[in-house]
Amino acid sequence: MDRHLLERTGSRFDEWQRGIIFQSTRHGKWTAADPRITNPIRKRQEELQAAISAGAHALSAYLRKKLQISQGELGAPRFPRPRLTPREFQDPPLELEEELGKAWIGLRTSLTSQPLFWLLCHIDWLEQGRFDVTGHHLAEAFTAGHGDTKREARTRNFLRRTSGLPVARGNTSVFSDCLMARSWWRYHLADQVEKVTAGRVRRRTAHRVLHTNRPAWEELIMRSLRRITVINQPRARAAIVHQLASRLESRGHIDKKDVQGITLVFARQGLRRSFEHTSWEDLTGGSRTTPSSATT
Amino acid sequence: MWAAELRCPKTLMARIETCSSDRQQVTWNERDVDGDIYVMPGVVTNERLVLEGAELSAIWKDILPLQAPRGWWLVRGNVRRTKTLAESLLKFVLEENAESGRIEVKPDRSSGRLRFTVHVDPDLFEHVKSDRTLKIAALVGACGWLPEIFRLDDPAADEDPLATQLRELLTSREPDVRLWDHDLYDPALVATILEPLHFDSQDPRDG
Repeated sequence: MDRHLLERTGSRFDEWQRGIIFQSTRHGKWTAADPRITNPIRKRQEELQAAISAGAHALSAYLRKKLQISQGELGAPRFPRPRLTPREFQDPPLELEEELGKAWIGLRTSLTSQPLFWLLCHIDWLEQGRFDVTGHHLAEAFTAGHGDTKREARTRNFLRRTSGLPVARGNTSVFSDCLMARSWWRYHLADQVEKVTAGRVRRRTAHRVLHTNRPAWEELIMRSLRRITVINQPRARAAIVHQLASRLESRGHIDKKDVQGITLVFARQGLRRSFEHTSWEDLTGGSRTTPSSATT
Repeated sequence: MWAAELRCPKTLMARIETCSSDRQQVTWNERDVDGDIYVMPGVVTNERLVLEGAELSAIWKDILPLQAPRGWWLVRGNVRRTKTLAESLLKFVLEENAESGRIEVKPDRSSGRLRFTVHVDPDLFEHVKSDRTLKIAALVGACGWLPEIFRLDDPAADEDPLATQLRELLTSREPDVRLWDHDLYDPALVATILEPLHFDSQDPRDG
């Protein structure tokens, strides 16, 4: 995909997202009942809902208009399946994520970390008929779910699932909320774990760890992006996934507290050691070596 | 050995490069990074280390010999950004249809970070890298957006590292400079704190 297209379209994407949701932090706590604020937002939300109800072509035309993108392919990666059902789209099973991840293995992280990249991909896929094309099925895939009786919630569901909602949820949103992006990242990181451990931790095992519990995934991403960026060193992440895999095997489940506990240990270790130069046995808890005199 | 840790949180990238010579060059691929990149220089043990008294300052004498396993940081420098705060805030994009001589600054949080897109026409775009005045004009426009983007108590302002850095910088200048949630907030003043305005005698437009 052309990076210039992303750069040119970025501010329009931002403007569109900011204009179509109500945010008490931005609009003010007491403006939820102020029609001067809420009426324009409501109209924009209704316009989006109408486009979704009218089917795939109307929806892609709506998005192109909002982003001011002319006709033509946008260069989205090839979709490995002819079509996804709403259920598959909303909650991709492990096997589907593997299929998507393998098909899109060449994508670069400078693109896949951008919410707008994924929205442009969805426009391409809509035009290629990769989702069930009727308005009813599109609504089920893109807007149904938590709080979907309210227009605001349906709108937010759409924004989250097709690109992420960075204006409200920050830079973790693309990793947590955009379903295709989340699938790609889980596979990509699982693949990286297998490579960096020379197969000690299999890609399938790592992928299962990242896929098994949504709050645990979100916690890992939030910590990797904002709080403990040292765990992005590939060997550190591999060791964290390895420890989570052990817990998943012994207990049958993992949750976000497991992620919090393990990443905290690595955050502390990262202050003192380079994970790239530490043996795998030390990283995975075989040794608790500390320098004899390092007291600072 | 010398070591430099490179981090790009937005693409979940972190890695360490080492070298033994007296000069270290750290490189990265643009396709693996986006947004802010941080470099942390230091010294890492490349094998188990035992230092005796003769090699060390007297302040260590009570805890000698000093031992460190392989891979431990002996020294870590301050975190350095590869871009200035002003450079991180602005992104110039070419707008083919823009009217000549005009710039348009718009917030762009599509990347999940505080950033402003500066739309410029083809003539101005040629000078983006060399002309500081253009950068400062864009910064004034960007700073003008801050009260709209970050209302008081907006959690997004606390989570965004650039907003945090900007807040720290401006807070350190109070009361001469006001934050964006204050009535006397002045975008031009803030912009020229980030990038002071001065005319370079070698500016090609002179004469």
